[in-house]
Amino acid sequence: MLTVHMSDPARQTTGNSGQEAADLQNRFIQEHMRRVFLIIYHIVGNVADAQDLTQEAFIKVLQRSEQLKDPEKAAHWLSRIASNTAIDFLRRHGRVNFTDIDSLVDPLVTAHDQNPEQTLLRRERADRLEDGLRHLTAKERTALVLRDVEDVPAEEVARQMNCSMATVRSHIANARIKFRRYLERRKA
Amino acid sequence: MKHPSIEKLALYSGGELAWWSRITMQRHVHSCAQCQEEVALFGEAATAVREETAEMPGGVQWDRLAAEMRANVRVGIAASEAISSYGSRIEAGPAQGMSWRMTVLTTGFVIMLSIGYWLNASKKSEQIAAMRGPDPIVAEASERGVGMSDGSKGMELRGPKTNLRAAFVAVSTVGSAGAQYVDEETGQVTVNHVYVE
Repeated sequence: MLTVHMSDPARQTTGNSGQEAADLQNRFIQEHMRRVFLIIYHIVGNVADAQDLTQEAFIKVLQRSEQLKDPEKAAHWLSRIASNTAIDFLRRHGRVNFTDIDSLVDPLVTAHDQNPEQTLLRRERADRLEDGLRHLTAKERTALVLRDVEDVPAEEVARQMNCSMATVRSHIANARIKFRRYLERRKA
Repeated sequence: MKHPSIEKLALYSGGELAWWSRITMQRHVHSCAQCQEEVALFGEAATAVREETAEMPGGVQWDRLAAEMRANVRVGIAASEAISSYGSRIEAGPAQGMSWRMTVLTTGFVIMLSIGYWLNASKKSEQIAAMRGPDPIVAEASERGVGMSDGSKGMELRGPKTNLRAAFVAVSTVGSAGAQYVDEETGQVTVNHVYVE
């Protein structure tokens, strides 16, 4: 049970509508945070920046909480905000800074409750992907993540990346060729 | 037989070619085993990308990271509400460019100090009264600060030591209490929020 005390009657706020909005926000965050973090992480390439940008994307969306009334539209809008936030970050910084995950300190440590074999397998897969993505330019990686992972139409990718369709097709093709060659080299 | 370029095959595999090019390519790929294999390899690579991007990067403890991000988002939203409420005053002040990140840092520091205080507290604050059974949880927000108690232990986040009133005080029935302070001289916003989880 929880009891609340409010001692500033002139400014106090509470009530069902406010609580419903807060619940809606919490559910929205819970439902989409992992997906949004991964989109941003695979575009910017490091955990610390992805964490900041994920928070930034959610704050941008939740500042207009009336958008949450339609969950499907809100999820789509969030994806756009997330990728745009990551792309803007890359533009501002001019390049991508890859941080070695191993060098990150607590709280980004391996969970103790995971099966060690599963942890190793997951880590190998994640490392393989990271290694493959490192061979791509920031624009190629962004185009690949949006098109092949998020299934965003190429026209929309071009809009989000602020470039022509011909350019975005070139980024997508180059990214696929480089990533495929990387996988073939690994197999060999 | 003249084969299409590898770039065209890469685009064909993902369906990005214009309709006419796609039809032409389809006819060629249908009759060319070599190009069929190329397209299949692009498909395998795309599947690998999709599967592997669904995995959390190695070394990331997601539950803890997500909890930290959720808390920061809550504080960020509270800060933006405070800033928008007092936008005109902040705009006129010298701290016009202060970002929510600074507010998050300030708040995080205050919360960290308060948790230390809570862990070491030997007696609960007399301002926080127990209202339920043997283990009540009481949340209180006032201009002085925000706090809560579970009946045996309590914590309180005191507001900044200025003569200013709290800009905004709020409590919710599911376990949070918050107060936001805006320093009219510097424009700095301090957000104190405690949550029961």
